[in-house]
Amino acid sequence: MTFPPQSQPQALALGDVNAFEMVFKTYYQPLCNYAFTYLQDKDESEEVVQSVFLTAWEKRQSLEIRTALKPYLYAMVRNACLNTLKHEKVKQKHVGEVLKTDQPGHEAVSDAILSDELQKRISDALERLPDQCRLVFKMSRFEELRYAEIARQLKISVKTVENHMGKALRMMREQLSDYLVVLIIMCNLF
Amino acid sequence: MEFDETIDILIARVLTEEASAEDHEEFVRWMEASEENRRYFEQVRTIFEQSARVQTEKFDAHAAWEIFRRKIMPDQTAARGKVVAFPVWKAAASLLAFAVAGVFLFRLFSIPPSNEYVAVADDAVRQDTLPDGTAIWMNSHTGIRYAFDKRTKTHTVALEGEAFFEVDKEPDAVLIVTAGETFIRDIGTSFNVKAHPDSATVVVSVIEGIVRFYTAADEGVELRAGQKGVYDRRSKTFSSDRLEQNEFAYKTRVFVFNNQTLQQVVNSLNAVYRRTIRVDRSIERCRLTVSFEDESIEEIAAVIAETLGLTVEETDGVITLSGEACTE
Repeated sequence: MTFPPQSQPQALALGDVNAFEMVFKTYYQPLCNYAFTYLQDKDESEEVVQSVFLTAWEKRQSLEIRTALKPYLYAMVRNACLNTLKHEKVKQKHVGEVLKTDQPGHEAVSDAILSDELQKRISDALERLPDQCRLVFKMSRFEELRYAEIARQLKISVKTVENHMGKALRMMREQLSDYLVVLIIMCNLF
Repeated sequence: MEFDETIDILIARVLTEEASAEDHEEFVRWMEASEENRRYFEQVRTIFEQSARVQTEKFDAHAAWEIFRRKIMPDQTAARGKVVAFPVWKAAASLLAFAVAGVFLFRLFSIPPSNEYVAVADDAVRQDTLPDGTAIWMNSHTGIRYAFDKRTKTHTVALEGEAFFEVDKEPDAVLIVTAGETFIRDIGTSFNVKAHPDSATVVVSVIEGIVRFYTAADEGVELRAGQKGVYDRRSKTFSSDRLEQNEFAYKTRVFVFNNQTLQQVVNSLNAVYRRTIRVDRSIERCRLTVSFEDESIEEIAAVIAETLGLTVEETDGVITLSGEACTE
């Protein structure tokens, strides 16, 4: 079959509410999740994501769903979270919330026998990383940005990004090593 | 045992796919050096993989969308669907009747939100499974919204873009795909629907089984395996035709070209792969008979170049083929 040169799929028009709904429902949960890693507050996270979508909706004429959409939304959420964290009040609350999430028994989504516990521990370990190191790690893992892109956005060198990534993995492993030994042995048993 | 910090940096590079060929060699050497190294890597990898999945809270995208929708369209009521224009005097006269009917209609047509499922493929082909078990391959720039109505046992998929459906047979349930004003009703089968909102046509191609393709006003056509139906949005008419090769290459990545011009070949490939091939004017009429099965665009370009004696060049992600014009 032959395609005339102009017949390649066009981008979904963001102006259409139905198309926007699809985008919203696809990215809402992962974006809230990402916001939560910064804010440690469910309501705050949802507020941030709502406002990011509102901005995206208002700018829909100039936006296109092409490769740029996902990184755009993630970067907006990250910046909004970092701004929110600047306010001392939230920071105070944040400390309280971290303690709160340490309490057992709250509902979490698990996709493996041990992942509930593991995820909570990873989340705690992530919280204990130095600020810049944690930010770099999140941009790499949640936003899936390349080292060069992280370096560009944070105005640091690629070498520094590499060091932060190495340090993040090292520190998290140190915190989790006892638990991981048991976990990996158990996983191999099943 | 503690390792040199450079090892963590190397592992991070490997895991984030930033590693160079030398990094990989170094990494493999380090891994093979001891059982302990392998265990260390296994631990770091577990952390790396699990860290992006960290999820401590549940967020309800449905409830959030309702809140959001009220923000952007404050004048609409909560009931889904079209806003019906209704003359004021009539509205006043039949307010009560309308309200009663409204509740009834709302019950009848509203779909419980928990059944809804939404997926978008923006820049790449995406494979997914719908809650009813139907396998779906979405071409890039495609969105779907799925819902199941328990009462009528109907699975509905609203489609924008292009998708291939492989239906998991369920004897007493029905699958209907809606694309613009057209409906595609499946009768146990595999089929492809191409319905980009700004395209003049909706095209349904059937690989297996039977499909009915229709609108509310027109009973449309019944399509069997090997047939395709085309709906012209402007004239609102249906026609059917035989299926052509390479129709679903985006799903299968299988291409069969039979004495086609290089320009035609490249157009087909460019509609499927993210990286594009450009051909020089002088050679676009060269003819080619070749087939590819799930190969990378780079491999394909190399094969074409080899076959026609062309040179391949890559700049800014675009692959350019150039060479001498072919003799007819």
